[in-house]
Amino acid sequence: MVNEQDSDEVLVQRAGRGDKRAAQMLVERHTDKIYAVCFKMLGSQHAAEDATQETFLRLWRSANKWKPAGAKFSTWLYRVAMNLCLDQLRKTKRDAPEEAAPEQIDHAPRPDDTYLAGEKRLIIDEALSALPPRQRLALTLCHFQELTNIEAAQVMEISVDALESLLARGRRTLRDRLTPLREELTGKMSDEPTANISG
Amino acid sequence: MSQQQTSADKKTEAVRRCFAAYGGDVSVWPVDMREAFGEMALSDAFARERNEASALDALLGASTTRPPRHDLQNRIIAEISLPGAIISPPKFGLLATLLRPFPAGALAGLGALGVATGFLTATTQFASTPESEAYAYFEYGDVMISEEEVSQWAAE
Repeated sequence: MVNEQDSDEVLVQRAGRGDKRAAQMLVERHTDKIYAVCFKMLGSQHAAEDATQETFLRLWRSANKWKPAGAKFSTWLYRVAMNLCLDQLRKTKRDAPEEAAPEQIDHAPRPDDTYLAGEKRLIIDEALSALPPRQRLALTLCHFQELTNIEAAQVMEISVDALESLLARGRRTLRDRLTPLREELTGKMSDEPTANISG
Repeated sequence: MSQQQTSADKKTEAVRRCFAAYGGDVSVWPVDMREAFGEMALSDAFARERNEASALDALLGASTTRPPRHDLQNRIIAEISLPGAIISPPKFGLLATLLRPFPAGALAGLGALGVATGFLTATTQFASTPESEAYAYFEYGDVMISEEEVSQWAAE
């Protein structure tokens, strides 16, 4: 019998023994976070949903082999999602003609968007999507998902120093791309409601 | 003196690295960085770095994630297939043994056989109401209906 207080590690072990309710609780706990990372990486609702579903399919396939000795379960799950996203990006890049944009950002307006808020969001999302994938991933995990630097480094299987380097390079590129727009955007946005931030 | 300067330089460099990597909000820096450099980072000496990093944080804050369609969780839950929960298929003895080498083909063949048998053995049945019987006769066309009969139906 599972209960709400069970840790992820307990749940995944139960799921590995065929406990469907434990698997369901893992889905309820982690779907939104995994989807958010996939969305930031792939830039489209549809692609992010597919990657999220595939992440869980891989979990079910290996749930009975999962060992609690290694990283935290959430780190492992983020890593699966990350690898799927990086594979998808490589595939997209390989299949796309050279002059095409690397990714297409899902710009469908949200119901709460005013025109200018939507415009600002679009510029920032495009700047984010133009970052190299590993810089974008580092920013997504640390800034949007609020993972600690150690957790993010574990997900990406790099050292904390390497993570900091990716973060600093990503932020510098964004600053350079967005700084010319900052005053204009800030001015335009001064009377606009700020969109909810969160990744 | 020079050693002190080197140590101060290293600290200054470390604080700059933190602003560059983790942003302008010192309270969200990793705990060890916050403890080592937090006070220094909040001093006026780093006002420029702090403001620049905070401005970028604010811009990033406007980035949103388009939410998934509401049934994403349900779709994932519906797809749960756990290795331990696999139910073994029912056994069909000789038939299963015969069909094992070509399950897809056998299934398709059995399906086709079922449809063919259905066609060959089906008999046409009609509901037994006078109206449906009349339509059936019309359809098969080998019964002539006189005007009298039509008038009689109308009267009924």
